[in-house]
Amino acid sequence: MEEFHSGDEVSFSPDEASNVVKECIEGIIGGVDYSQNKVNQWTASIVEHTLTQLVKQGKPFKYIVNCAVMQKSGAGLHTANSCYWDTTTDGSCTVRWENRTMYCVVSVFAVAIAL
Amino acid sequence: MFPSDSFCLSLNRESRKIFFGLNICICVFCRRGPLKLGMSKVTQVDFPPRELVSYTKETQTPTQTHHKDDEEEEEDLALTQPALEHQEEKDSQKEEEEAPPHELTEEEKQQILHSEEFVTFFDHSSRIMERALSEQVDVFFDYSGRDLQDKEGESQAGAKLSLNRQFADERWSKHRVVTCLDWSPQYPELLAASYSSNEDAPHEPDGVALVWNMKYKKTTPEYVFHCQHPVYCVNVVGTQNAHNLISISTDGKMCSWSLDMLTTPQDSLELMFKQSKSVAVTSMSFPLGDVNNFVVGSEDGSVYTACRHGSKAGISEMFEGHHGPITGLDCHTAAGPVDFSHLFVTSSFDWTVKLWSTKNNKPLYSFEDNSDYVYDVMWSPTHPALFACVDGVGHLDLWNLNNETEVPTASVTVEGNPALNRVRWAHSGREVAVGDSEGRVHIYDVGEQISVARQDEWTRFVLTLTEINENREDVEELAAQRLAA
Repeated sequence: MEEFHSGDEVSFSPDEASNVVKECIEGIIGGVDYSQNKVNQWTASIVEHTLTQLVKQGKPFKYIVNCAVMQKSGAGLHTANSCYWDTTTDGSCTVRWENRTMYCVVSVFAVAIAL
Repeated sequence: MFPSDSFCLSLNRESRKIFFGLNICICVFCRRGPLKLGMSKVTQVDFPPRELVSYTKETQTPTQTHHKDDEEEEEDLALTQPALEHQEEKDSQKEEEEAPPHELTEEEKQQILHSEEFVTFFDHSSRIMERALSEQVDVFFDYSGRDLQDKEGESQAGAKLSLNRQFADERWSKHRVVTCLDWSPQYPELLAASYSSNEDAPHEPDGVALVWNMKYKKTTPEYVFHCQHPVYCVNVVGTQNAHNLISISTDGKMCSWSLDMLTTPQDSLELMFKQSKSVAVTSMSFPLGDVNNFVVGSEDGSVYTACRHGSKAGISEMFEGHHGPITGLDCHTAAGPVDFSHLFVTSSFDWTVKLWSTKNNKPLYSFEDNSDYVYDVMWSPTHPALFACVDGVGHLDLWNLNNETEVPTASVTVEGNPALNRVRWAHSGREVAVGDSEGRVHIYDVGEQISVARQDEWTRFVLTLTEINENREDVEELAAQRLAA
C-alpha cells in the first residue's frame, strides 16, 4: 500500500525505465547461451525483476511488462505495438537486447494512475 | 494500490459500483480538465531473418526482360554499374513482386552490410567488376597493319628488355621491402609477392603477402594475406602428392613442414659444417628434380651442399669463393638434351655473381660487371645459358653465356634506382619479375631473341663451359706458378 503524492503531475520517463530493464536483462541472461529448459525461468525472472524495480521507484503508474526471448536460428522476428492513452502522462519503452544465441525484447507500458 | 481501497471494502457491491463511479468522476474533476486520450506511436521491433542463398541449376529463358537486361548490361564492358547497385535493383524488384518496399532503418542496413553473406558476395563481385572495368579492349584494332604504316618506331619484338607493368599497392606494399616472389605453376598469370614489415606503421601487420594477376589490367591485388610475423622465404619441394615445405633460417636450422600441420615441423635439421660451425643460411636451392640434396649459401660467404635424409644428412661440402654474404643462389633448372643440374650461380655482397659446379670446390667463373651489392640471381627456366641478376642500384642484368661472358647481354635500370631485392623468371621464361625495396614489383618482358632458346643452345653451352673451364685452369696454373716463383 504505497502512498502517492496526490496532485503531482508525473509523466513516464522512458530512459529511466529503459536503464532499469537493461540492467535486469544483463543480470539474468547476460553472457549465457540459449537453453530451452532454462528460458522459461529467464523470461519470468526478467518480468518479475523489472516490475519490482519499477514499482520500487514509487511513481503512480500501473505497469505492464512483456518479455520475449527468441533463439537465433535465422528466422526473422517482427512485432509492433501501439496504445490509446493519455499521451501526456503515460508512456512505454521497448528494449531490444541480443547476444550470440538469442534475442530478447522487453516492453514496459506505464499508465498513470488517476488520482 | 488505490489509497481508497480500504474504504471500498466496507461497502457492499452495489454501493461499491456507485462509489467507484463517483470516485472516477471525482478524480476526473480533481484533475486539470477532462482526460485527453490519444494514440501513441507504434513501436516496432524487427529482427530480419538470415538470408539463405540457394542456387538452381536450371537455365531460365528470359521472362522478366528488365531483370535480364540488367544482367546483360553487367557483362558488357562498356557500362559501369557497380555491383552494389545491381544488388539493390534485384532486391527492389523482388520486393515489388512481394510487397511495397519499406525503408530500411540504419540498424538494418548495418546488419546487412556486416552479414557474412554480404561480405563474401561483395568481395567476390567487386573483384570481378574491377577486372572488367580495368580492361581496355580496343575493338578498332586493325590486324592487317594498314594503320601501323603511318606509325614510326620499332615494334616491341625488337626490344630486348621492356617494362610490361608495375605492381604496387598504396595500402599494403608501400614502405615495405619485397622479400620474396613466386610465380604460380598452375596459373601462369598469378604472381605471389611477400613483403617485410612496414617500419612507418607499427600497428599494421608485420607480414603481408599479395597475389597479383598479370592477366587483367586492374591495379589492385587479387588477394591480400597478412600475418603478424614478417615473411621471408619458403620453398615447396616434391611432387603434387608427396611434398614438403622447407624453411631455413639464419640460426642454421632447416625445418621441413607438412602443409596439413603447420604448428610444428615434421623434422628439423641443424646445419653444421664439420660438426662445429653452425651455418647461417641466407639462401637455399634444390637442383632440378632433387628433393634430398640441396645447396645453401651463408652469411660468411661460403656455399655448402647438404642432404636432407640419409646417413650423410646435413652439410657435405663447402665451397669458398665469395668475399661477402651470399644473397642469392640458384641451381640450374632449364631441362634439355644435356643435364646441367650440377651448375649453380650465386650472388653476393662482394659485387660479383659466380658460376659453380657441385663437382668443383672453386667457382668456375666470376661475373664482375656490377658496381654494387648483387641481391639476387636466377637461371632462366627455359634457356640453359641465360640468367638474370639484380643489384642495389636498380640494375636488372640478363647474362647469356653463349653470347658473352664479360658483360650482360641485356640490361635495364629501374626508374628511381631503387635497390632491387628479388628477381624471378616466370615459368614461361618470357617475363621477369623484379621486387624492389620500396614495395613495388616490376614485370619486364624479355625479347624473343634472348629468351627463346634454340635447339643448339644446350650443345653451345657445353662448349661455353669447356671454354670457361679451360680458362680457369690456365688462370689457376698461372697463379700456382707465380706462387712457386
